[in-house]
Amino acid sequence: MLRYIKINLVLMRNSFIRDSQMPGYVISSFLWRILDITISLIFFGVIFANIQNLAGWNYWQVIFLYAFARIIIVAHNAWTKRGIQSMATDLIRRGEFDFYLAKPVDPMIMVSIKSPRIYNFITLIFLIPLAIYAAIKSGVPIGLDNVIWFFILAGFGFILYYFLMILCVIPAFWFIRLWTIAEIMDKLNTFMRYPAGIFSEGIKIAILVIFPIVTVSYFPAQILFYPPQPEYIVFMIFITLLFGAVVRYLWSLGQRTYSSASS
Amino acid sequence: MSAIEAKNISKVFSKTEFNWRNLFKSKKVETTAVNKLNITIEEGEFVGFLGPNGAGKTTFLKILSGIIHPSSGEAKVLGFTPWERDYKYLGQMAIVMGQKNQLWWDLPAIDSFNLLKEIYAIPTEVYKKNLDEIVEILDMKPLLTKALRNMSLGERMKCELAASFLHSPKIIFLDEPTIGLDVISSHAIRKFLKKINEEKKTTMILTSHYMGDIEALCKRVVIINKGQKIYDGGLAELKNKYAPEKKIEIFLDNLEAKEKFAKLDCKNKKLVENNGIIRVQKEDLAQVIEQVFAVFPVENISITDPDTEEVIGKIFQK
Repeated sequence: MLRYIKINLVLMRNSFIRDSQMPGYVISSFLWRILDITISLIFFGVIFANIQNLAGWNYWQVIFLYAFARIIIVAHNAWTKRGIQSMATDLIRRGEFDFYLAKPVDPMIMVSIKSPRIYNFITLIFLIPLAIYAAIKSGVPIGLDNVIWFFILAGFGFILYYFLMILCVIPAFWFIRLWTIAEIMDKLNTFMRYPAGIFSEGIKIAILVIFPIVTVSYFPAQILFYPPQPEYIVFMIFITLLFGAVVRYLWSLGQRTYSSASS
Repeated sequence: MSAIEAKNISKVFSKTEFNWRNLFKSKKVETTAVNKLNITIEEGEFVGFLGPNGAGKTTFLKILSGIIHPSSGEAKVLGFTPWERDYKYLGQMAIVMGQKNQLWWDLPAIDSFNLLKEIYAIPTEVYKKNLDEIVEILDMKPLLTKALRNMSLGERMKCELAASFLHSPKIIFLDEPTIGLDVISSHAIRKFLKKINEEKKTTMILTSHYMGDIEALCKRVVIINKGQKIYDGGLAELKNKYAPEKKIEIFLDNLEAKEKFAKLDCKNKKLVENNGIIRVQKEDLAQVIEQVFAVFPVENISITDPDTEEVIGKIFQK
Protein backbone atom coordinates (compact mmCIF):
# COMPACT_ATOMS: atom_id res chain seq x y z
CA MET A 1 0.00 0.00 0.00
CA LEU A 2 2.80 2.39 1.02
CA ARG A 3 4.53 1.61 -2.26
CA TYR A 4 1.46 2.65 -4.30
CA ILE A 5 1.15 5.86 -2.28
CA LYS A 6 4.80 6.66 -3.07
CA ILE A 7 4.31 5.82 -6.77
CA ASN A 8 1.20 7.96 -6.79
CA LEU A 9 3.05 10.90 -5.25
CA VAL A 10 5.79 10.70 -7.89
CA LEU A 11 3.14 10.53 -10.64
CA MET A 12 1.29 13.51 -9.18
CA ARG A 13 4.53 15.45 -9.01
CA ASN A 14 5.35 14.53 -12.61
CA SER A 15 1.85 15.59 -13.65
CA PHE A 16 2.34 18.91 -11.88
CA ILE A 17 5.65 19.52 -13.69
CA ARG A 18 4.17 18.56 -17.07
CA ASP A 19 0.92 20.53 -16.70
CA SER A 20 2.83 23.58 -15.47
CA GLN A 21 4.43 23.70 -18.90
CA MET A 22 0.98 23.85 -20.53
CA PRO A 23 -0.87 26.76 -18.87
CA GLY A 24 -3.20 27.11 -21.87
CA TYR A 25 -4.46 23.57 -21.40
CA VAL A 26 -4.90 24.01 -17.66
CA ILE A 27 -6.79 27.31 -17.91
CA SER A 28 -9.08 26.24 -20.78
CA SER A 29 -9.86 22.95 -19.06
CA PHE A 30 -10.66 24.75 -15.79
CA LEU A 31 -12.90 27.34 -17.51
CA TRP A 32 -14.71 24.59 -19.40
CA ARG A 33 -15.53 22.78 -16.15
CA ILE A 34 -16.75 25.94 -14.44
CA LEU A 35 -18.91 26.71 -17.48
CA ASP A 36 -20.34 23.18 -17.36
CA ILE A 37 -21.23 23.56 -13.66
CA THR A 38 -22.78 27.01 -14.26
CA ILE A 39 -24.93 25.75 -17.15
CA SER A 40 -26.13 22.80 -15.07
CA LEU A 41 -27.08 25.10 -12.17
CA ILE A 42 -29.01 27.35 -14.57
CA PHE A 43 -30.94 24.35 -15.90
CA PHE A 44 -31.77 23.14 -12.39
CA GLY A 45 -33.02 26.67 -11.68
CA VAL A 46 -35.25 26.52 -14.77
CA ILE A 47 -36.63 23.09 -13.83
CA PHE A 48 -37.41 24.11 -10.24
CA ALA A 49 -39.07 27.32 -11.41
CA ASN A 50 -41.77 24.99 -12.80
CA ILE A 51 -41.92 22.22 -10.19
CA GLN A 52 -41.75 22.05 -6.37
CA ASN A 53 -39.64 18.89 -6.10
CA LEU A 54 -38.05 16.12 -8.09
CA ALA A 55 -39.20 12.69 -6.85
CA GLY A 56 -39.60 14.24 -3.38
CA TRP A 57 -36.21 16.04 -3.43
CA ASN A 58 -36.22 19.82 -3.11
CA TYR A 59 -34.05 22.20 -5.17
CA TRP A 60 -31.12 22.30 -2.72
CA GLN A 61 -31.16 18.54 -2.20
CA VAL A 62 -30.88 18.07 -5.96
CA ILE A 63 -28.09 20.65 -6.14
CA PHE A 64 -26.30 18.72 -3.38
CA LEU A 65 -26.76 15.48 -5.33
CA TYR A 66 -25.39 17.16 -8.45
CA ALA A 67 -22.39 18.68 -6.64
CA PHE A 68 -21.64 15.40 -4.84
CA ALA A 69 -21.81 13.43 -8.12
CA ARG A 70 -19.51 16.00 -9.75
CA ILE A 71 -17.02 15.68 -6.88
CA ILE A 72 -16.70 11.95 -7.54
CA ILE A 73 -16.47 12.47 -11.31
CA VAL A 74 -13.95 15.33 -11.09
CA ALA A 75 -11.77 13.48 -8.59
CA HIS A 76 -11.62 10.51 -10.94
CA ASN A 77 -11.09 12.76 -13.95
CA ALA A 78 -8.11 14.27 -12.19
CA TRP A 79 -6.72 11.00 -10.90
CA THR A 80 -7.65 7.87 -12.87
CA LYS A 81 -9.75 8.67 -15.94
CA ARG A 82 -7.01 9.37 -18.47
CA GLY A 83 -5.03 6.28 -17.52
CA ILE A 84 -8.08 4.03 -17.68
CA GLN A 85 -9.24 5.51 -20.99
CA SER A 86 -5.82 4.92 -22.50
CA MET A 87 -6.45 1.17 -22.16
CA ALA A 88 -9.22 1.48 -24.75
CA THR A 89 -7.37 3.90 -27.02
CA ASP A 90 -3.62 3.24 -26.91
CA LEU A 91 -2.16 0.78 -24.45
CA ILE A 92 -3.63 -2.42 -25.88
CA ARG A 93 -3.63 -1.34 -29.52
CA ARG A 94 0.00 -0.21 -29.53
CA GLY A 95 1.24 -2.89 -27.15
CA GLU A 96 2.37 -0.32 -24.58
CA PHE A 97 0.57 -2.35 -21.93
CA ASP A 98 3.66 -4.62 -22.11
CA PHE A 99 5.55 -2.28 -19.80
CA TYR A 100 2.87 -2.47 -17.11
CA LEU A 101 2.91 -6.26 -17.22
CA ALA A 102 6.69 -6.37 -16.95
CA LYS A 103 6.80 -4.38 -13.71
CA PRO A 104 6.38 -5.70 -10.15
CA VAL A 105 3.15 -3.77 -9.60
CA ASP A 106 -0.54 -4.38 -10.17
CA PRO A 107 -1.10 -3.45 -13.85
CA MET A 108 -4.73 -2.39 -13.24
CA ILE A 109 -3.79 0.06 -10.50
CA MET A 110 -0.69 1.24 -12.32
CA VAL A 111 -2.58 1.95 -15.55
CA SER A 112 -5.29 3.77 -13.58
CA ILE A 113 -2.94 6.17 -11.82
CA LYS A 114 -0.40 6.61 -14.62
CA SER A 115 -1.71 9.89 -16.08
CA PRO A 116 -3.18 12.15 -13.40
CA ARG A 117 -4.29 15.64 -14.34
CA ILE A 118 -3.55 17.31 -11.06
CA TYR A 119 -4.92 20.73 -12.04
CA ASN A 120 -8.38 19.24 -12.51
CA PHE A 121 -8.58 18.98 -8.73
CA ILE A 122 -8.97 22.78 -8.67
CA THR A 123 -12.63 22.37 -9.66
CA LEU A 124 -13.19 20.73 -6.27
CA ILE A 125 -12.56 24.12 -4.65
CA PHE A 126 -15.93 25.19 -6.08
CA LEU A 127 -17.78 21.89 -5.83
CA ILE A 128 -17.10 21.04 -2.19
CA PRO A 129 -18.39 24.41 -0.81
CA LEU A 130 -21.36 24.15 -3.20
CA ALA A 131 -22.24 20.70 -1.81
CA ILE A 132 -21.90 21.90 1.82
CA TYR A 133 -23.96 25.03 1.10
CA ALA A 134 -26.68 23.02 -0.67
CA ALA A 135 -26.87 20.48 2.19
CA ILE A 136 -27.32 23.32 4.73
CA LYS A 137 -29.84 25.21 2.56
CA SER A 138 -31.90 22.05 1.92
CA GLY A 139 -33.59 22.61 5.29
CA VAL A 140 -33.46 18.90 6.07
CA PRO A 141 -32.21 18.14 9.60
CA ILE A 142 -28.92 16.23 9.25
CA GLY A 143 -27.61 14.31 12.27
CA LEU A 144 -24.11 13.11 13.04
CA ASP A 145 -25.05 9.52 12.17
CA ASN A 146 -26.23 10.75 8.75
CA VAL A 147 -22.88 12.47 8.18
CA ILE A 148 -20.84 9.45 9.28
CA TRP A 149 -22.80 7.04 7.09
CA PHE A 150 -22.66 9.51 4.22
CA PHE A 151 -18.85 9.55 4.31
CA ILE A 152 -18.65 5.77 4.56
CA LEU A 153 -21.00 5.27 1.60
CA ALA A 154 -19.32 8.10 -0.33
CA GLY A 155 -16.06 6.13 -0.01
CA PHE A 156 -17.77 3.04 -1.38
CA GLY A 157 -19.34 5.16 -4.13
CA PHE A 158 -15.94 6.48 -5.12
CA ILE A 159 -14.55 2.94 -5.37
CA LEU A 160 -17.65 1.67 -7.20
CA TYR A 161 -17.31 4.44 -9.79
CA TYR A 162 -13.69 3.35 -10.32
CA PHE A 163 -14.77 -0.24 -10.92
CA LEU A 164 -17.43 0.91 -13.40
CA MET A 165 -14.83 2.89 -15.34
CA ILE A 166 -12.55 -0.14 -15.50
CA LEU A 167 -15.47 -2.34 -16.56
CA CYS A 168 -16.07 -0.05 -19.55
CA VAL A 169 -12.56 -0.50 -20.94
CA ILE A 170 -12.05 -4.21 -20.25
CA PRO A 171 -13.54 -5.21 -23.67
CA ALA A 172 -10.45 -3.57 -25.22
CA PHE A 173 -8.50 -6.73 -24.29
CA TRP A 174 -10.57 -8.58 -26.89
CA PHE A 175 -11.65 -5.92 -29.37
CA ILE A 176 -8.43 -3.83 -29.39
CA ARG A 177 -9.76 -0.65 -30.99
CA LEU A 178 -12.46 0.87 -28.84
CA TRP A 179 -12.23 4.62 -28.85
CA THR A 180 -15.96 5.13 -28.21
CA ILE A 181 -16.12 2.83 -25.20
CA ALA A 182 -13.76 5.15 -23.35
CA GLU A 183 -16.43 7.84 -23.52
CA ILE A 184 -19.33 5.72 -22.26
CA MET A 185 -18.87 6.89 -18.69
CA ASP A 186 -19.02 10.53 -19.77
CA LYS A 187 -22.51 9.88 -21.14
CA LEU A 188 -23.68 7.81 -18.19
CA ASN A 189 -22.47 10.41 -15.70
CA THR A 190 -25.59 12.44 -16.50
CA PHE A 191 -27.75 9.91 -14.62
CA MET A 192 -25.83 10.53 -11.40
CA ARG A 193 -27.18 14.04 -10.90
CA TYR A 194 -30.84 13.02 -10.47
CA PRO A 195 -32.67 11.21 -7.64
CA ALA A 196 -33.33 7.56 -8.57
CA GLY A 197 -37.06 8.09 -7.97
CA ILE A 198 -37.54 9.99 -11.25
CA PHE A 199 -36.73 6.95 -13.37
CA SER A 200 -39.12 4.17 -14.38
CA GLU A 201 -38.75 0.75 -12.72
CA GLY A 202 -36.87 -0.81 -15.64
CA ILE A 203 -34.37 2.00 -15.90
CA LYS A 204 -33.99 1.99 -12.12
CA ILE A 205 -32.93 -1.67 -12.14
CA ALA A 206 -30.49 -0.91 -14.94
CA ILE A 207 -28.82 2.06 -13.26
CA LEU A 208 -28.97 0.86 -9.65
CA VAL A 209 -28.14 -2.81 -10.08
CA ILE A 210 -27.02 -3.90 -13.56
CA PHE A 211 -24.71 -0.95 -14.15
CA PRO A 212 -25.04 0.87 -10.81
CA ILE A 213 -23.93 4.32 -11.91
CA VAL A 214 -26.71 6.04 -9.94
CA THR A 215 -25.97 3.95 -6.83
CA VAL A 216 -22.59 5.75 -6.68
CA SER A 217 -24.13 9.14 -5.86
CA TYR A 218 -27.76 8.50 -4.90
CA PHE A 219 -27.29 6.11 -1.96
CA PRO A 220 -24.77 8.26 -0.05
CA ALA A 221 -26.90 11.39 -0.70
CA GLN A 222 -30.06 9.52 0.37
CA ILE A 223 -28.45 8.49 3.66
CA LEU A 224 -27.39 12.08 4.36
CA PHE A 225 -30.91 13.47 4.13
CA TYR A 226 -33.02 10.58 5.45
CA PRO A 227 -32.72 8.19 8.41
CA PRO A 228 -29.98 5.60 7.65
CA GLN A 229 -31.57 2.39 6.39
CA PRO A 230 -29.55 -0.83 6.89
CA GLU A 231 -30.69 -2.28 3.58
CA TYR A 232 -29.22 0.72 1.71
CA ILE A 233 -25.90 0.34 3.54
CA VAL A 234 -25.73 -3.41 2.97
CA PHE A 235 -26.67 -3.02 -0.68
CA MET A 236 -24.03 -0.35 -1.31
CA ILE A 237 -21.27 -2.40 0.32
CA PHE A 238 -22.41 -5.59 -1.38
CA ILE A 239 -22.63 -4.12 -4.86
CA THR A 240 -19.22 -2.45 -4.54
CA LEU A 241 -17.59 -5.71 -3.47
CA LEU A 242 -19.47 -7.62 -6.17
CA PHE A 243 -18.36 -5.26 -8.93
CA GLY A 244 -14.85 -5.27 -7.53
CA ALA A 245 -14.73 -9.06 -7.78
CA VAL A 246 -16.27 -9.06 -11.28
CA VAL A 247 -13.87 -6.39 -12.53
CA ARG A 248 -10.86 -8.20 -11.05
CA TYR A 249 -11.93 -11.48 -12.64
CA LEU A 250 -12.60 -9.97 -16.08
CA TRP A 251 -9.39 -7.97 -16.00
CA SER A 252 -7.29 -11.06 -15.21
CA LEU A 253 -9.16 -12.94 -17.96
CA GLY A 254 -8.40 -10.12 -20.39
CA GLN A 255 -4.79 -9.95 -19.26
CA ARG A 256 -4.47 -13.67 -20.03
CA THR A 257 -5.70 -13.18 -23.56
CA TYR A 258 -3.55 -10.08 -24.14
CA SER A 259 -1.41 -10.74 -27.17
CA SER A 260 0.57 -7.48 -27.27
CA ALA A 261 1.36 -5.80 -30.59
CA SER A 262 3.96 -6.80 -33.15
CA SER A 263 7.37 -5.19 -32.87
CA MET B 1 21.64 -23.23 -12.01
CA SER B 2 20.05 -22.38 -15.36
CA ALA B 3 18.65 -18.89 -15.65
CA ILE B 4 16.13 -19.98 -18.26
CA GLU B 5 14.65 -23.37 -18.93
CA ALA B 6 11.90 -23.46 -21.53
CA LYS B 7 10.29 -26.69 -22.65
CA ASN B 8 8.00 -27.10 -25.64
CA ILE B 9 6.85 -23.49 -25.59
CA SER B 10 4.23 -22.77 -28.25
CA LYS B 11 2.19 -19.69 -28.92
CA VAL B 12 -0.73 -19.69 -31.30
CA PHE B 13 -2.44 -16.36 -31.96
CA SER B 14 -6.04 -16.73 -33.01
CA LYS B 15 -8.11 -14.04 -34.59
CA THR B 16 -11.74 -14.14 -35.61
CA GLU B 17 -12.30 -12.67 -39.03
CA PHE B 18 -15.81 -11.23 -39.28
CA ASN B 19 -17.66 -11.28 -42.52
CA TRP B 20 -20.57 -8.85 -42.56
CA ARG B 21 -22.41 -10.85 -45.23
CA ASN B 22 -22.20 -14.07 -43.24
CA LEU B 23 -21.98 -12.85 -39.68
CA PHE B 24 -22.60 -16.32 -38.28
CA LYS B 25 -19.93 -17.90 -40.44
CA SER B 26 -17.07 -15.94 -38.99
CA LYS B 27 -13.72 -17.62 -39.52
CA LYS B 28 -11.10 -18.22 -36.85
CA VAL B 29 -7.60 -17.68 -38.21
CA GLU B 30 -4.71 -19.17 -36.25
CA THR B 31 -1.06 -18.20 -36.56
CA THR B 32 1.68 -20.15 -34.87
CA ALA B 33 4.28 -17.65 -33.68
CA VAL B 34 6.33 -20.03 -31.55
CA ASN B 35 6.36 -23.78 -32.12
CA LYS B 36 7.57 -26.18 -29.41
CA LEU B 37 10.65 -24.18 -28.55
CA ASN B 38 13.13 -25.70 -26.09
CA ILE B 39 15.97 -23.69 -24.68
CA THR B 40 18.23 -23.62 -21.65
CA ILE B 41 20.32 -20.57 -20.82
CA GLU B 42 22.84 -20.46 -18.00
CA GLU B 43 23.28 -17.56 -15.59
CA GLY B 44 25.51 -14.82 -16.96
CA GLU B 45 25.23 -15.95 -20.59
CA PHE B 46 24.78 -13.43 -23.39
CA VAL B 47 22.69 -15.13 -26.04
CA GLY B 48 21.72 -13.71 -29.42
CA PHE B 49 18.35 -14.55 -30.93
CA LEU B 50 18.35 -14.36 -34.70
CA GLY B 51 15.59 -14.79 -37.19
CA PRO B 52 13.81 -13.03 -40.01
CA ASN B 53 10.86 -10.71 -39.32
CA GLY B 54 7.92 -12.68 -37.90
CA ALA B 55 10.11 -15.61 -36.85
CA GLY B 56 8.76 -15.50 -33.28
CA LYS B 57 11.76 -13.96 -31.49
CA THR B 58 9.87 -11.11 -29.83
CA THR B 59 6.91 -13.35 -28.94
CA PHE B 60 9.28 -15.77 -27.21
CA LEU B 61 10.91 -12.91 -25.31
CA LYS B 62 7.49 -11.63 -24.24
CA ILE B 63 6.55 -15.09 -22.97
CA LEU B 64 9.77 -15.31 -20.96
CA SER B 65 9.22 -11.85 -19.52
CA GLY B 66 5.67 -12.69 -18.42
CA ILE B 67 3.95 -10.29 -20.80
CA ILE B 68 2.04 -12.93 -22.71
CA HIS B 69 0.91 -16.43 -21.87
CA PRO B 70 2.07 -19.32 -24.02
CA SER B 71 -0.53 -21.62 -25.58
CA SER B 72 1.38 -24.62 -24.24
CA GLY B 73 4.69 -25.56 -22.70
CA GLU B 74 6.58 -24.86 -19.51
CA ALA B 75 9.21 -22.33 -18.59
CA LYS B 76 11.20 -21.41 -15.54
CA VAL B 77 13.12 -18.15 -15.49
CA LEU B 78 15.22 -17.62 -12.35
CA GLY B 79 13.10 -20.40 -10.88
CA PHE B 80 9.77 -18.67 -11.58
CA THR B 81 7.04 -19.32 -14.15
CA PRO B 82 7.12 -15.96 -15.96
CA TRP B 83 3.43 -15.62 -16.83
CA GLU B 84 2.41 -16.12 -13.19
CA ARG B 85 3.84 -12.60 -12.75
CA ASP B 86 5.39 -13.18 -9.35
CA TYR B 87 6.62 -9.76 -8.19
CA LYS B 88 9.83 -11.40 -6.95
CA TYR B 89 10.52 -12.43 -10.53
CA LEU B 90 9.44 -9.15 -12.16
CA GLY B 91 11.68 -7.28 -9.74
CA GLN B 92 14.71 -9.19 -11.02
CA MET B 93 13.90 -8.92 -14.70
CA ALA B 94 13.81 -6.14 -17.29
CA ILE B 95 12.83 -5.86 -20.91
CA VAL B 96 13.99 -3.23 -23.38
CA MET B 97 12.08 -2.79 -26.59
CA GLY B 98 13.88 -0.80 -29.22
CA GLN B 99 10.67 0.33 -30.83
CA LYS B 100 8.75 1.37 -27.73
CA ASN B 101 9.26 3.91 -24.97
CA GLN B 102 8.53 3.27 -21.33
CA LEU B 103 9.66 6.71 -20.17
CA TRP B 104 7.48 9.81 -19.88
CA TRP B 105 7.51 11.69 -23.17
CA ASP B 106 7.15 15.23 -21.79
CA LEU B 107 9.42 14.91 -18.78
CA PRO B 108 13.17 14.83 -18.14
CA ALA B 109 14.56 11.31 -17.87
CA ILE B 110 15.40 11.75 -14.18
CA ASP B 111 11.67 12.09 -13.33
CA SER B 112 10.94 8.76 -15.00
CA PHE B 113 13.89 7.20 -13.20
CA ASN B 114 12.52 8.45 -9.86
CA LEU B 115 9.21 6.77 -10.66
CA LEU B 116 11.00 3.50 -11.44
CA LYS B 117 12.82 3.79 -8.12
CA GLU B 118 9.43 3.61 -6.36
CA ILE B 119 8.02 0.91 -8.67
CA TYR B 120 10.97 -1.40 -8.01
CA ALA B 121 11.25 -0.21 -4.38
CA ILE B 122 14.98 0.44 -4.86
CA PRO B 123 16.67 1.69 -1.66
CA THR B 124 17.89 5.28 -2.11
CA GLU B 125 21.63 4.46 -1.72
CA VAL B 126 21.44 1.60 -4.22
CA TYR B 127 19.48 3.79 -6.64
CA LYS B 128 22.01 6.62 -6.45
CA LYS B 129 24.95 4.24 -6.84
CA ASN B 130 23.40 2.45 -9.83
CA LEU B 131 22.32 5.68 -11.49
CA ASP B 132 25.78 7.27 -11.10
CA GLU B 133 27.43 4.17 -12.51
CA ILE B 134 25.09 3.90 -15.50
CA VAL B 135 25.29 7.62 -16.23
CA GLU B 136 29.07 7.41 -16.25
CA ILE B 137 29.31 4.36 -18.52
CA LEU B 138 26.73 5.71 -20.96
CA ASP B 139 28.09 9.25 -20.69
CA MET B 140 24.56 10.62 -20.34
CA LYS B 141 24.69 13.20 -17.53
CA PRO B 142 23.32 16.04 -19.72
CA LEU B 143 20.38 13.81 -20.71
CA LEU B 144 19.05 13.49 -17.17
CA THR B 145 17.45 16.92 -17.23
CA LYS B 146 16.42 16.87 -20.88
CA ALA B 147 12.79 16.08 -21.80
CA LEU B 148 12.46 12.80 -23.67
CA ARG B 149 10.66 14.46 -26.59
CA ASN B 150 13.73 16.65 -27.21
CA MET B 151 16.14 13.72 -27.42
CA SER B 152 17.54 11.97 -30.47
CA LEU B 153 16.74 8.29 -30.98
CA GLY B 154 20.19 7.30 -29.70
CA GLU B 155 19.81 9.45 -26.59
CA ARG B 156 16.37 8.01 -25.92
CA MET B 157 17.70 4.47 -26.16
CA LYS B 158 20.48 5.30 -23.70
CA CYS B 159 17.80 6.50 -21.27
CA GLU B 160 15.67 3.39 -21.88
CA LEU B 161 18.66 1.18 -21.12
CA ALA B 162 19.55 3.18 -18.04
CA ALA B 163 15.94 2.85 -16.84
CA SER B 164 16.06 -0.91 -17.28
CA PHE B 165 19.24 -1.38 -15.27
CA LEU B 166 18.41 0.84 -12.28
CA HIS B 167 17.10 -2.09 -10.24
CA SER B 168 20.12 -4.32 -11.09
CA PRO B 169 18.13 -7.01 -12.92
CA LYS B 170 19.54 -10.53 -12.95
CA ILE B 171 18.13 -11.10 -16.39
CA ILE B 172 17.38 -8.71 -19.22
CA PHE B 173 15.61 -9.18 -22.51
CA LEU B 174 16.81 -6.80 -25.22
CA ASP B 175 14.54 -6.63 -28.23
CA GLU B 176 16.39 -4.81 -31.01
CA PRO B 177 17.92 -2.16 -28.73
CA THR B 178 20.04 -0.65 -31.51
CA ILE B 179 17.34 -0.40 -34.16
CA GLY B 180 17.65 2.80 -36.15
CA LEU B 181 20.75 3.98 -34.29
CA ASP B 182 23.89 5.41 -35.88
CA VAL B 183 27.26 3.66 -35.57
CA ILE B 184 28.43 5.74 -32.60
CA SER B 185 25.27 5.22 -30.56
CA SER B 186 25.20 1.49 -31.38
CA HIS B 187 28.81 1.18 -30.32
CA ALA B 188 28.17 2.97 -27.01
CA ILE B 189 25.25 0.69 -26.26
CA ARG B 190 27.19 -2.46 -27.14
CA LYS B 191 30.04 -1.32 -24.88
CA PHE B 192 27.60 -0.70 -22.03
CA LEU B 193 25.89 -4.07 -22.39
CA LYS B 194 29.20 -5.91 -22.59
CA LYS B 195 30.50 -4.20 -19.46
CA ILE B 196 27.36 -4.93 -17.43
CA ASN B 197 27.32 -8.57 -18.60
CA GLU B 198 30.96 -9.09 -17.70
CA GLU B 199 30.99 -7.23 -14.40
CA LYS B 200 27.57 -8.04 -12.98
CA LYS B 201 27.07 -11.42 -14.68
CA THR B 202 23.62 -10.33 -15.82
CA THR B 203 22.02 -12.88 -18.12
CA MET B 204 21.17 -11.15 -21.38
CA ILE B 205 19.06 -12.23 -24.31
CA LEU B 206 19.41 -10.06 -27.37
CA THR B 207 17.44 -9.98 -30.57
CA SER B 208 18.83 -7.86 -33.35
CA HIS B 209 18.90 -7.66 -37.10
CA TYR B 210 22.37 -6.14 -36.92
CA MET B 211 24.98 -8.84 -37.08
CA GLY B 212 27.48 -6.38 -35.63
CA ASP B 213 25.56 -6.47 -32.33
CA ILE B 214 25.48 -10.24 -32.23
CA GLU B 215 29.12 -10.67 -33.22
CA ALA B 216 30.32 -8.09 -30.71
CA LEU B 217 28.27 -9.38 -27.79
CA CYS B 218 27.12 -12.98 -28.10
CA LYS B 219 29.19 -16.13 -28.00
CA ARG B 220 26.06 -18.19 -28.40
CA VAL B 221 23.29 -17.72 -30.92
CA VAL B 222 19.86 -19.23 -31.28
CA ILE B 223 18.33 -19.06 -34.73
CA ILE B 224 14.57 -19.17 -35.01
CA ASN B 225 12.55 -19.42 -38.16
CA LYS B 226 8.77 -19.83 -38.40
CA GLY B 227 8.61 -20.27 -34.64
CA GLN B 228 11.07 -23.18 -34.56
CA LYS B 229 14.63 -23.36 -33.38
CA ILE B 230 16.93 -24.28 -36.22
CA TYR B 231 20.29 -23.65 -34.60
CA ASP B 232 21.59 -23.28 -31.08
CA GLY B 233 25.31 -22.98 -30.52
CA GLY B 234 28.42 -20.88 -30.93
CA LEU B 235 28.89 -18.33 -33.72
CA ALA B 236 32.10 -20.01 -34.91
CA GLU B 237 30.44 -23.43 -35.04
CA LEU B 238 27.56 -21.87 -36.94
CA LYS B 239 29.91 -20.79 -39.70
CA ASN B 240 31.63 -24.17 -39.75
CA LYS B 241 28.33 -25.99 -39.96
CA TYR B 242 26.52 -23.86 -42.51
CA ALA B 243 29.40 -22.30 -44.45
CA PRO B 244 32.41 -24.58 -44.28
CA GLU B 245 34.34 -22.38 -46.66
CA LYS B 246 36.78 -19.50 -46.67
CA LYS B 247 36.54 -16.26 -48.55
CA ILE B 248 39.62 -15.11 -50.47
CA GLU B 249 39.44 -11.47 -51.41
CA ILE B 250 41.96 -9.97 -53.86
CA PHE B 251 42.30 -6.26 -54.51
CA LEU B 252 42.58 -5.88 -58.28
CA ASP B 253 44.20 -2.51 -58.86
CA ASN B 254 44.39 -2.56 -62.67
CA LEU B 255 43.02 -4.18 -65.79
CA GLU B 256 45.92 -6.62 -66.00
CA ALA B 257 45.14 -7.91 -62.49
CA LYS B 258 41.47 -8.36 -63.44
CA GLU B 259 42.49 -10.40 -66.52
CA LYS B 260 44.74 -12.57 -64.35
CA PHE B 261 41.84 -13.08 -61.95
CA ALA B 262 39.60 -14.17 -64.82
CA LYS B 263 42.17 -16.78 -65.85
CA LEU B 264 42.44 -18.36 -62.38
CA ASP B 265 41.48 -22.02 -62.43
CA CYS B 266 38.92 -22.18 -59.63
CA LYS B 267 35.15 -22.32 -59.12
CA ASN B 268 32.96 -19.86 -57.20
CA LYS B 269 34.80 -16.72 -58.14
CA LYS B 270 33.25 -13.35 -58.84
CA LEU B 271 34.36 -9.82 -59.51
CA VAL B 272 32.80 -7.07 -57.39
CA GLU B 273 34.10 -3.67 -58.56
CA ASN B 274 37.88 -3.82 -57.88
CA ASN B 275 37.70 -6.92 -55.72
CA GLY B 276 37.97 -10.50 -56.84
CA ILE B 277 36.17 -12.84 -54.46
CA ILE B 278 36.72 -16.60 -54.36
CA ARG B 279 34.83 -18.95 -52.10
CA VAL B 280 36.76 -22.09 -51.36
CA GLN B 281 35.89 -25.28 -49.51
CA LYS B 282 38.41 -25.81 -46.72
CA GLU B 283 39.86 -29.00 -48.29
CA ASP B 284 40.71 -27.08 -51.48
CA LEU B 285 42.06 -24.03 -49.69
CA ALA B 286 45.80 -24.90 -49.88
CA GLN B 287 45.71 -25.52 -53.61
CA VAL B 288 43.78 -22.30 -54.40
CA ILE B 289 45.95 -20.17 -52.10
CA GLU B 290 49.11 -21.46 -53.80
CA GLN B 291 47.70 -20.40 -57.17
CA VAL B 292 46.57 -16.97 -55.92
CA PHE B 293 49.84 -16.16 -54.16
CA ALA B 294 51.75 -17.07 -57.30
CA VAL B 295 49.85 -14.46 -59.32
CA PHE B 296 49.01 -11.55 -56.95
CA PRO B 297 51.04 -9.53 -54.43
CA VAL B 298 50.55 -10.67 -50.82
CA GLU B 299 49.42 -7.23 -49.59
CA ASN B 300 46.43 -7.38 -51.96
CA ILE B 301 45.11 -10.69 -50.61
CA SER B 302 42.94 -11.35 -47.56
CA ILE B 303 41.52 -14.66 -46.38
CA THR B 304 38.50 -14.53 -44.09
CA ASP B 305 35.52 -16.51 -42.88
CA PRO B 306 32.30 -15.68 -44.72
CA ASP B 307 30.25 -12.83 -43.19
CA THR B 308 27.83 -13.99 -40.52
CA GLU B 309 25.06 -12.19 -42.36
CA GLU B 310 25.70 -14.31 -45.46
CA VAL B 311 25.65 -17.49 -43.38
CA ILE B 312 22.39 -16.55 -41.72
CA GLY B 313 20.92 -15.63 -45.10
CA LYS B 314 21.85 -19.08 -46.38
CA ILE B 315 20.18 -20.76 -43.42
CA PHE B 316 16.92 -18.86 -43.88
CA GLN B 317 16.86 -19.64 -47.58
CA LYS B 318 17.07 -23.40 -46.90
